[in-house]
Amino acid sequence: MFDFDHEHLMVLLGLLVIIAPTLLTAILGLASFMGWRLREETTSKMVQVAVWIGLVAGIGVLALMLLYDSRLIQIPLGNWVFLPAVLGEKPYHFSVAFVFDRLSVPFVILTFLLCGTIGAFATRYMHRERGYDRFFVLYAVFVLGMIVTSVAGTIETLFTGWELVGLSSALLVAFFQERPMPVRNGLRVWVVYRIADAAFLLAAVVLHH
Amino acid sequence: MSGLADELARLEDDGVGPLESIFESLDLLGIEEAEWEPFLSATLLALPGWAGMIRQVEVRGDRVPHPIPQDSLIEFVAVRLLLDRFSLASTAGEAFGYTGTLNGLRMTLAERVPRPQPPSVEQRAFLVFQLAQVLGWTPATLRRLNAHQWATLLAEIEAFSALERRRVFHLAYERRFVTQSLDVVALHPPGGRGTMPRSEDATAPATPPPRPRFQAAFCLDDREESIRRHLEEVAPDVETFGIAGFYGVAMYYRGAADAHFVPLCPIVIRPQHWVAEQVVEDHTVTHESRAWKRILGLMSHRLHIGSRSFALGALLAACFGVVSAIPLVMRILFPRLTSQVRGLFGAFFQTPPATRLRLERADASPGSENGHLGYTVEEMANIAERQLRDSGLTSNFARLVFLIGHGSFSLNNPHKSAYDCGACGGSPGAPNGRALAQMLNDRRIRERLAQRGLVIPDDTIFIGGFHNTCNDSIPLFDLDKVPPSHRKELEAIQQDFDSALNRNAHERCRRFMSAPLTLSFTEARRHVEGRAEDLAQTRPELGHATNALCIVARRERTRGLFFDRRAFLTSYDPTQDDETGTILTRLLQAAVPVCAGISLEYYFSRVDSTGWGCGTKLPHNITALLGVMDGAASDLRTGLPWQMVEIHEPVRLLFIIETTPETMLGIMDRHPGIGQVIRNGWALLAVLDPGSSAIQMFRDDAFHPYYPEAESLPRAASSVDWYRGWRDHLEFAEIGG
Repeated sequence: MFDFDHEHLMVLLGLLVIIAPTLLTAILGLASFMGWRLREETTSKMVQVAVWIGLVAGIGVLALMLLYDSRLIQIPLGNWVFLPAVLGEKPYHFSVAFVFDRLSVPFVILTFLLCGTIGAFATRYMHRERGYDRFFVLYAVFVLGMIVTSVAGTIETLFTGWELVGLSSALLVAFFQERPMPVRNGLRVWVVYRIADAAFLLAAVVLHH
Repeated sequence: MSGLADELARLEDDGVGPLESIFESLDLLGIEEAEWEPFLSATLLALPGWAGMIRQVEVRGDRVPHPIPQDSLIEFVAVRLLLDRFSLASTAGEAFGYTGTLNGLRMTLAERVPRPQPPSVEQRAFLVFQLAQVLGWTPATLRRLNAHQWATLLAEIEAFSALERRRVFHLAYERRFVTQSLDVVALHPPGGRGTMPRSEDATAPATPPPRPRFQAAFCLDDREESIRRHLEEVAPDVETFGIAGFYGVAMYYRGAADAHFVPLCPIVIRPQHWVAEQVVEDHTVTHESRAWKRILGLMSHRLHIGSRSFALGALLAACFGVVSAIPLVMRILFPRLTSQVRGLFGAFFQTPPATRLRLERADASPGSENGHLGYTVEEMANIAERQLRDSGLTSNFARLVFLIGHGSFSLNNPHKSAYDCGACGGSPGAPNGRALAQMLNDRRIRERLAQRGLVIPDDTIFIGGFHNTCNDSIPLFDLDKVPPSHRKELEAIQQDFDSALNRNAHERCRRFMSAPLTLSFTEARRHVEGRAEDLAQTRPELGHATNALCIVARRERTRGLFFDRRAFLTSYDPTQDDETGTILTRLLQAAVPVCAGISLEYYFSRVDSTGWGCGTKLPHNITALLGVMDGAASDLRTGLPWQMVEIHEPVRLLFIIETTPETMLGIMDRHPGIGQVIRNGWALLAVLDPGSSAIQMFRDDAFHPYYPEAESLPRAASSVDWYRGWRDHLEFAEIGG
């Protein structure tokens, strides 16, 4: 009935890599949005679990790729916008897809390693600090952005990840929001990211032509 | 700011000094001589932190590795005023086209500044509204008031200003604490429970007291209150003392691995002597292995320097940079384990060398050069005599006496010195107890002491030690000098220390929100060891937080009382002192500035964390190796960070001193440094009668009898029974059967 071979296992692990930070962002973000006060231990536990799942899945993908000598795993999530061909131009697909290859997988592993270490550090460093929740929401967005950027299969997906990284970086720089300097610096980072966006969009247009 | 360069060139050419430049600036700004002081004070305070730091470094050049020249503060003011002049001129020009001279600017500005308005009707009515809410007045009640009653009501409300209201609230807040503290001391039976009576106390029986198994002196620090209590619970036949942690050995000290001399004594003292730690030549190490170690050491040094150069640095980072991530990640994830592994590796490559303090001086004058280091035998005998007489340890010496300094070791902590020994000027006080022990073990010094009536038995050995208040360990010094006859006892005592340290760590853990309340003694010890090695830990320990009491009395008066790590305990035996309180004066000259200073530092950092404290620790960066700033640019943030004071109760320190009111008043009159602290209300004072439990409280420049409000004290079998399960401040209690 369901043929569970290594191909499927790799796709499943690949999905886990993406789902773990997505769920973390969704839960922490929703809790923060609804004003639910999570205990510090709960937040740090969730961060820990998400990073471990992602890291182990990433290493699993790498191990299977080496074991079965496969070089490319694609996880398409379908076309989200389709514009038909007009006036002889090519039709436009806004498609979401993730690609696991020998470049993106090491990046995934590195991201989880570094972000996991930072998460472990921040759990103790931010103890009892005002904005503990806010920090970890932004942290989750950053991890999600990094993962999406690493495994993006289309330029639109890459752009999405890049935006998440940019937004969370700027807000993290401005973390101590009651002082003017960090806010000013956060704005600066935001502006620089917007310049990069312009280049990004240009590249997207060029690629589609 | 145009014209600044020209002005600077003029000052340079005409050789105008900083003081003359200040006079010029004051003149140009139109400041009358009567206004100089407030104006210059405001100028000094305009950049918070810096002026004070410049002055400290200038007047106490001996406390920093790189002193700055005299009159740096004056130069600072001269530069500030110069810049003020030019920025005022340019700002006034831009803002409202002002082109006149600067001394006329004030008149122009005065017209533009809005005058303060008297409070509006709504503002005045709002206070009445608030009061009506609190007291439950109905509109009907208020309507019945006539004009005269209204006027009285408003006058009463407005006479009781916001500042005055907060003062009264604060006094009430303090009163609760004062009552609790005085009650516990008054109701504690003289002689204490399970204590070893030592002196000729009127209430003690006339039989000679038994010899204690061992004696241990700790710093008077509030954090040592708990370790003394636990040691007494673990070993009921111990006698403990509280002595200012520099042990009378005021010195500039340089450890075997240090580059500079550091003053180890209270900030009010300038040491006259220099002491260095020296490595003992080790004859057991073979020549070859030493040569190998030197090559290894040299290589690692070259590599360290090389990694900071451009080419080699780039090469090393590219090849091995990834490898260095492993220890970093390990350190963050498993701090305690990593530090143990590093310790093992370190011990493999380099055995810690045996060292000795170079204490004795042959030359006449003391100094920091070779030959001038140390004290003469006579000077050492004087220090030893004074310490013994001050602490009341003049007879009934045990076979082993421990003199334990303290300090705190943690990582990634710019405020480390605030956790170290206050009586050592914010440095670890390890060498002080060690030095005094070395002096007291010296035959020649003992002979001199015996001539002065202080007979130390031949079988008494003094041992110096060091309490690391962060990871709760007590390494002891010069143990190779302990004769075989004392070895067995020493081992047993070290075990007592160890269990007392476990319990001490356990009691500390109840205040750490990240330590579960269910920890066992050994788990608690492991927890505090982990905190000390954790790069991410912003609260390696809680320092002096919650300090509120300073008791200067015999230990019998407080032994068996649970003071919740809130009391500085100084040993003082009034029966060995004279009428004028000569010994007490000496004790208070160290205890009052040190303890009141610590208390006020915590008080002000707690009541205004952003203004007088330095806010949260997280964004701090070290600047100029002088202090911390928020982020990349801010004021110099002096004071204590929020993490250190968040559990502190802002009450003034209450001194409870075992003496008579007459002696105390005499000391306060003769020593303004002590008198001003008390009379000006920076600390509270009560005296405890040496022969009874009567207490008199100092208020309005006179002593008034205090009558306890409680009838009995809460009691628990042991400290852990009393505090287990509680996070918050605990009531004081009586511990033991």
